Amino acid sequence: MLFKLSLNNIRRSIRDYAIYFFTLMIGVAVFYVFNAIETQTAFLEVSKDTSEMIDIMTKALSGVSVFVAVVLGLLIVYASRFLMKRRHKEFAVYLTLGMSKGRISAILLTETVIIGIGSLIAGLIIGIGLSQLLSAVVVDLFEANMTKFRFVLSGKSVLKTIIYFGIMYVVVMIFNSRSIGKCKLIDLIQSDKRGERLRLHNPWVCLVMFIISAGMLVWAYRRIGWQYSNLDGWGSVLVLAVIAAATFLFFWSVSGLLLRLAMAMKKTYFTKLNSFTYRQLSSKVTTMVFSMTVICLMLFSTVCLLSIAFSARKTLNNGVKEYFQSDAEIAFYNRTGEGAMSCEEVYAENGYDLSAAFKKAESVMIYDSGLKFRDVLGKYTDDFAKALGSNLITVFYFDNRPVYSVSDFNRMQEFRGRDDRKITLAEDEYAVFCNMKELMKYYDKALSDGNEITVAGRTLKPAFDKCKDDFVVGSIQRTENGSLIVPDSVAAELEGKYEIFWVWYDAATPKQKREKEEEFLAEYRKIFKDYDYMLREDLTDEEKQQIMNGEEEPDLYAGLLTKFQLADETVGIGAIATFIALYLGIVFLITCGAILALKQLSDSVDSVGRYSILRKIGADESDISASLFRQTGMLFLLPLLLAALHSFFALRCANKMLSIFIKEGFVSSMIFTSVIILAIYGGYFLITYLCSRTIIREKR
Amino acid sequence: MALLEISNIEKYYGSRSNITKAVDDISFSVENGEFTAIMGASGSGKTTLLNCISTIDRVTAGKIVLDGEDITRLKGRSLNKFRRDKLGFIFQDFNLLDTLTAYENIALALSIQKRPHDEIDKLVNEVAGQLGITEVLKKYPYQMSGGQKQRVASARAIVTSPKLVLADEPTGALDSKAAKMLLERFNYLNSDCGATIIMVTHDSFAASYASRVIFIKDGKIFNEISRGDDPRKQFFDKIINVVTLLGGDVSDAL
Repeated sequence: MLFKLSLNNIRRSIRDYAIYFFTLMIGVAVFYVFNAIETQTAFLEVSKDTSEMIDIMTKALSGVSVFVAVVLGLLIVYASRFLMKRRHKEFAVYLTLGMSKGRISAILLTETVIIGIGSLIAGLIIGIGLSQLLSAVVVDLFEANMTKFRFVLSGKSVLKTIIYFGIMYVVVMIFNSRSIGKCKLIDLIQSDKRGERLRLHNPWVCLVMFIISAGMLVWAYRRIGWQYSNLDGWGSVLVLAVIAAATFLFFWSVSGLLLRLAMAMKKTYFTKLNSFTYRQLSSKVTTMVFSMTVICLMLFSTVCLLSIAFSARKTLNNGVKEYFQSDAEIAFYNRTGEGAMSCEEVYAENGYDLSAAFKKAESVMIYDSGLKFRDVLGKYTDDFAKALGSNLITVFYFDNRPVYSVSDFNRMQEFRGRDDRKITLAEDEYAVFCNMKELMKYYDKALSDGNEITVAGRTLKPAFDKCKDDFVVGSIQRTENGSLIVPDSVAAELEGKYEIFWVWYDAATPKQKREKEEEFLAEYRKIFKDYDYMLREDLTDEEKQQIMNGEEEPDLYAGLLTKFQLADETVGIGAIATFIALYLGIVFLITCGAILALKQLSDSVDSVGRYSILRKIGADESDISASLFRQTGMLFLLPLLLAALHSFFALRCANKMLSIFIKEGFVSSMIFTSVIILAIYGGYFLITYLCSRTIIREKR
Repeated sequence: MALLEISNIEKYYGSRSNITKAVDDISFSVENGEFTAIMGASGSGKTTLLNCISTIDRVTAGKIVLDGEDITRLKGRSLNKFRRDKLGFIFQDFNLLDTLTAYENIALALSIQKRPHDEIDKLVNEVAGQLGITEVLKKYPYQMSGGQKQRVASARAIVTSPKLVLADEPTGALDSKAAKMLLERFNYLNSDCGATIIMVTHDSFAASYASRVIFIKDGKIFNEISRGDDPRKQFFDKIINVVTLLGGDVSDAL
């Protein structure tokens, strides 16, 4: 009997429950999908580095899952309390019929269980389907090989999903029974008569609050948009807190203010149903200031997370292709003056024929000029220091500028297959190359001024009035902060510091390349075991650590970096960032969408009478639909617009501060982010609008 | 020619086996500038009749011609347009939008006709003066008394200068003082502003303000009396007589 009643209740209020059920279902599916990644990737053919990365990722994702569970749990509690409030009248009928509160709690419990089980099953089915699709995404993100399609079901993830959501539903049940216990019959009976009074704030108070909010936002935006260089941990927390507070004040004041503004524009206000539309919207926003704030901040987080993650991934992945122009790179030096050997000589000494093993090998020498930034940049040094901000400079500010001979530089270009980048220098000329965008313009200024330098007692003048966009040492990003190219005769006078040695593997396919790399690494470990401090047996771990931190300089040095190592690592980092951002982003979006949808739908139910009045006084059906569309649209748009504004300044800050990481693909990642938001948030909007329209059309 | 010509209209409810004739072959006409009351007991069909005239409901048979146009043939968009431009409604439960002020409620009737805003302002103030609600224009419905609400609703109904004002039990939710005040306003609107009003009521006192009363019983016209040059008191006595003849529960509406 109880079960039947519960089932009927759900069937009757399917309209209210539909969006709730839908949201739960997506929540379950997303939760499953991201927790099943471990199983999904278990069969992929990946390198050791990549599988370590996947391991790190699954750990990170399961940590994030706890947070996600809290967010979804709060959403479920909010939604179920909201739906309960709509049914006070019904509970009143039960109570007057003599049903005990315990029985009512039991009905609610049964309903929650039915909905819970239903959404769990539906969500898991969808999740299992989607996670097969996700395998393909993983393959793409990790640039792995998928030999054949395999259907994977992660029992662990299924269990985890059931446990997590089970806990959430239990929490909801406790909440529901407690709120039923506290209800008084008289309040329940009169619940619909108590209708929310129009709380129009005093316009002057609104104006003051709005100005305060705008002031806070301007301060916060300035702080992150322009004065970001001295922003530390607590400073950022303060800025975020100010943004949150300003957002709250904004929503508190905006509806009243906009309404006054609209009312002042009499011509628009008294056109068709505009006055009605504005009033409805304003009362909606006024009654959900806190929810709007939370929604806006979640959207803000989503935009930032997604766009930074996407663009970081893209930058990292492209970075390796672009800024690591060899298959392997050895940095090598031998400080002891006599018996100094080049890399090539070390190989030869060990009986290794380079030309037979590799397609190509090349090396250049880095000379120490003793020149500082000030010597090269001249009077622009201070501008440059200011532009960089205090904390970035220290990294390389006091380093000597590296010097290369022009023939080394040209041979390097030949090795890279970039003959067009070769240069020629006269005996009294020098050139500069750099690839950090912020620095290049200062070099350009100094060079076009004809700034002269003195190297090894010879005075050189610039050969070009612009600095070359180039680099020598391989990296995953633009890290070359400025080096000099001098004539060979000048370089010969200088002390060689490091040798940079490169090879291209002689292999056609990635698989062959991997094999070749294994060979190369094995040889390296043998040949350079006395040079590479990580391989040296005479050093303790502590000493190795000191060398790694740059506190100690060994007199022999060799360091190896291969393209595969870098790529595996960067691809992994990019993929982890993308997955976490996607996970959180989707959960945030469905949360926002669900809160707004529930509010709008229940408002529509409450407003059915108003719409029928409009019809009675002869308003066109199309005007009524348009009014509803605008109300729903503005409700969804308002937090999104403010979030977009927040994001603009936050991303501006991120773009500058993390410029080395997210230099590239910012526009395309913004587009991708927008598409995701449009699909999920926009989807909620559309469903909400269509459902609302059905609701207000029902009672003709 | 009469403003409203109703000829042989019928309205049936129910299925083939169980037919209720809510309106059973009613014909009458209303001249321009007339104030007509329709009286009848609960269930006599008076509200159904009003709903048919107001195009909220459709007749089963018969013709309703308003201002030379057969409104039983209207459909969809033109139906809305007809309601918007030619009719004014006053309901028992006011049907004011609680989210709008009195001013905005009245203005809404004009703004959905796409009138320019300066004209709206002028008309709203004018009609508010006529109905004595100028001082409540800035208030919300919940801040007003029942009488004030009904006068605002009346203002909304007549501000568009409709051909015909239809009032369904307008005094039903008012106390006697507010009812009297409203009816005096109706009289004023009718005699001084030339509004044509059809009012459905079961209150003889309310009906006595009309120039003509049509009595309905079981879906048929039972009787019809005109006020002529009688003072209102005398007309009220006449109505009471008919009500007594009608019998039943109308008398207890006194």
